[in-house]
Amino acid sequence: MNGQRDEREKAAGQGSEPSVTLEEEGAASMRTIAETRKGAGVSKGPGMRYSFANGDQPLAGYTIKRGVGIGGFGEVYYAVSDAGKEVALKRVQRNIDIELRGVRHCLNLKSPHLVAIYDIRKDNQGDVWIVMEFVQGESLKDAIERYPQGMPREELVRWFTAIVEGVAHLHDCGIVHRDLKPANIFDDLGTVKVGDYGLSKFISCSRRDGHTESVGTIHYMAPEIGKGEYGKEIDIYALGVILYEMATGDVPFNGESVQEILFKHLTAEPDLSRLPPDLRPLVARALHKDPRQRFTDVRSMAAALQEASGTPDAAWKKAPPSPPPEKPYVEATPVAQPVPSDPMAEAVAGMWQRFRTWWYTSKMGKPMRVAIVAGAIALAILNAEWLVPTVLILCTIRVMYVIARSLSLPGFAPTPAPPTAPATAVGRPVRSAPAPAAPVVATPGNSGQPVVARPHPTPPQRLSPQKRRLLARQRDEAVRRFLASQPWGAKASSFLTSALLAAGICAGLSLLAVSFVHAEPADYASAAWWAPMVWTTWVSTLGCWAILFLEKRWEHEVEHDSPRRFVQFFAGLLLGIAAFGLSHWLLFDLSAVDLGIEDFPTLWIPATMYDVDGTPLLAAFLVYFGSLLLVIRWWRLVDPLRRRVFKCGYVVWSGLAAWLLAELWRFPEPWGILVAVNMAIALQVASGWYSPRRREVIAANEVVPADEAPQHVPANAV
Amino acid sequence: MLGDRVSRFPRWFWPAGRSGVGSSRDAATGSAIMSQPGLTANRFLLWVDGVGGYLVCRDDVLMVGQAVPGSRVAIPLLGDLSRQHAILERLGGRYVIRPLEPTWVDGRAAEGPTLLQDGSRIDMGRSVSLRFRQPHALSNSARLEFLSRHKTLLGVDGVVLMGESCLLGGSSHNHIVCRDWRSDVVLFRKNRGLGCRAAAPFEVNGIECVEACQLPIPSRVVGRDFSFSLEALS
Repeated sequence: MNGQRDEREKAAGQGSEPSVTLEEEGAASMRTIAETRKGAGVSKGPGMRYSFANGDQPLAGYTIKRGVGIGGFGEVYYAVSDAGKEVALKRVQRNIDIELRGVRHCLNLKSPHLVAIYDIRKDNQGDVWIVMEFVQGESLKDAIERYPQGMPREELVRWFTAIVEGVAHLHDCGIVHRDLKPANIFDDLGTVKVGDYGLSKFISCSRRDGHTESVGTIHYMAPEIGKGEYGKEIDIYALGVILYEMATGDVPFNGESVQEILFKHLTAEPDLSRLPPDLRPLVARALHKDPRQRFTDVRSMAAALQEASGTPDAAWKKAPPSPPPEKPYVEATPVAQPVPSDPMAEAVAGMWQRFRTWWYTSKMGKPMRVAIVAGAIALAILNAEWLVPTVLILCTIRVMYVIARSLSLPGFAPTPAPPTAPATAVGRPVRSAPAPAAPVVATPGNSGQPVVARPHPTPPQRLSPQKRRLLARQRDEAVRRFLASQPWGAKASSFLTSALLAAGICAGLSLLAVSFVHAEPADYASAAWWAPMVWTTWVSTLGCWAILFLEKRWEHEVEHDSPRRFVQFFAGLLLGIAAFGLSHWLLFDLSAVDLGIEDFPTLWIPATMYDVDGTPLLAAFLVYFGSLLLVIRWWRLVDPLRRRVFKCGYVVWSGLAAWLLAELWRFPEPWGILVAVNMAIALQVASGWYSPRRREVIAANEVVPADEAPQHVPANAV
Repeated sequence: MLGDRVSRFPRWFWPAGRSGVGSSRDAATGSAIMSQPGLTANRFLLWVDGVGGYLVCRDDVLMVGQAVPGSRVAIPLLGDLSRQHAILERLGGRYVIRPLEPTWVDGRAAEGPTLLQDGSRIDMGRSVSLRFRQPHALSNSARLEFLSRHKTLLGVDGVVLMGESCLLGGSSHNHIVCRDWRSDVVLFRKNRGLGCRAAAPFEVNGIECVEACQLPIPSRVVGRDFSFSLEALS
């Protein structure tokens, strides 16, 4: 075990080395990192690293079995003496005499509610070990986590009175615990024990230096600790926090950063409304900012709790075990002005609500539902002749009504939209610190000095295709997260750029195509020449805009095929209406030039789709454009993370699909196909694209917080 | 009582041709059962740092009994039990308890072989209670938890009845739940021995290991955010 001992020595000397996170590297550089770890002898990963392993005997007479935990003061092990006595061994790493004086003072305390300290020993290397009672069973932290809504009162009283007994014994002996927290309190097979006392002289400095545990303990820190006051009132404050946490499942003061929590301890008032009413005065007094206003001793706190909880036959025993906390009172939210009710909107909303309830509760099967939706859409399309004007009229009436209402009701503005934009704009904080993202590579023969390497732009060649695909996927996921964090302004400007570009391309392509369709030299002034041009330009431009707009909504999400197709389908219906309106407005008869096969059976085409002379009616437009946007996955053409910036295959495929659809619905031949091909070209050229190299850079800067990192579960685990 | 048990025991305990049990037909007496290699060998201790100690039993047939000096039952318990109290047997993916002495499953007295479900409570003798857990639906391994304060060997927090694999990880479907771990580790049977598999590279006895490798006993496994030791049981 000498090797491990050496490793430990090295590790101790290199405490400030940047930590290595494997998430970003992927399989490519894992080997490099593993070598680094061996060479440098250190792995300060997010997890724990114990210096001793099963079978080691750093202290004569004790055999280590396993690590129990690593705290701010050193590693704790479960060990067995030669005779078979179970003990906990704590190695005090910061070997300071003052600390040990504190422990010596506590060496002979006797209380059933304190974790007993048996001895303090020094090993051959000069390290100091504290031999303690080994506590089996869960900590109060585990117990609190089991009850996220707060513990049952009976359980709470059992824990709390025992904790108070232990702390009172310490206070009686003139010792302040200074580091009371649920992780230090254990239920040893029915007996609650307080541990880790006498070690906490430098609690405040050790907790603020960015150690992982600092955030955990800072929650229990009394405000006066900042001033250097370490009276027993700080234990009472900590007990107040613990009581609050036991009753609600949450600490009273929480926040993103250590500074924020400390600041709340100093200034904020605890939210007592989450507590059961009988505990509020008790917790309020224990959490008082002024130490002199708190309880004068811990026993009076336990007495107050027992009084609040009443005699055993009090009401709380009959109540359900975990009283549902009252709805927390949210302070900062401004209460919205009561908006006068809008009878029209209410009626429509009520009908919609009833329909939804029926739709979600009825016992129809999936095919039935699909049939109903398809039937409704078909009916709507076939009756589009009068349905669309009706809807338009209704919308106009509604708009006029809203305007009139807003004018007649003073001080009434349309319901303010929730401020979603800033929230999305903040998004995930993008940390661009190079250290965590870059692998650390130790040069041979220079084990001490790590060299920070650049992130690998491309994985090495030896990776298998599956691994490479996996890496690419992880990288793209990171880029999508980056996209999600983009502010609205950036998205809007990129959309506008793409939209303008797309319009220009559509115009150019339409010009080209229309001059081909009219083979003979035409009169450029005549409507017969420019009407198809304008129609094609506008319809394909509008189609592009719809797709680009949808993509801005979708670009940061994982692809969901059917919902996207469905949304596109509706966009296609709108496009159909626009195309129909345009053709009427331009007096452009699409069927005048029809290159389609004439003898195609048209019997099954409903009469409402085409006029007697073959002119397509609104229904035909709806059907054609709806199905065009349903069949093709347009979002793939504009995905910023598509594999290549332009793929001819997409153009061919969309042209083919459009031709088939035109044949199917007898839509006048060149025009529908023209629109599809225009869109396929314009969308790919005009939409934004991230090159693989740029994606690498973005992904390297996008550091995944450790707790959200994807779990690596072996696929063939079982 | 004892005579009754011994005479009744072999009739249903030894299915014909069962592997790993040895010369089953001779096992007419208690001492013969005790000498079955399948009952005591193939066990090891798994010490997971920061999590707990586990007794891992790999045999299909396991004897549960009182822990007395020199006892060789597979799962010895420090409780008021008979020296051979019950037999746990793995049949395919399911577990059956065959009581030799008064045993209750979920509060009902078990008269004969009784199928155990995930979450079944096993009461033995007057005071020992265990919880049977089969947390992963696709794994034929299981875990015994101590409900009463009785323990088995020193420092053991639970017993893993290891079939094909033993899963260690953060979520509750693992056989050994290690809440702070971010990645999962799988111990699995490899030929006659043990293998270990993890997503990230790890070290076995100081030797670098990527993806999966053989685990000797004893051995020390150290990963990025986990470490555990395997200790042989004499």
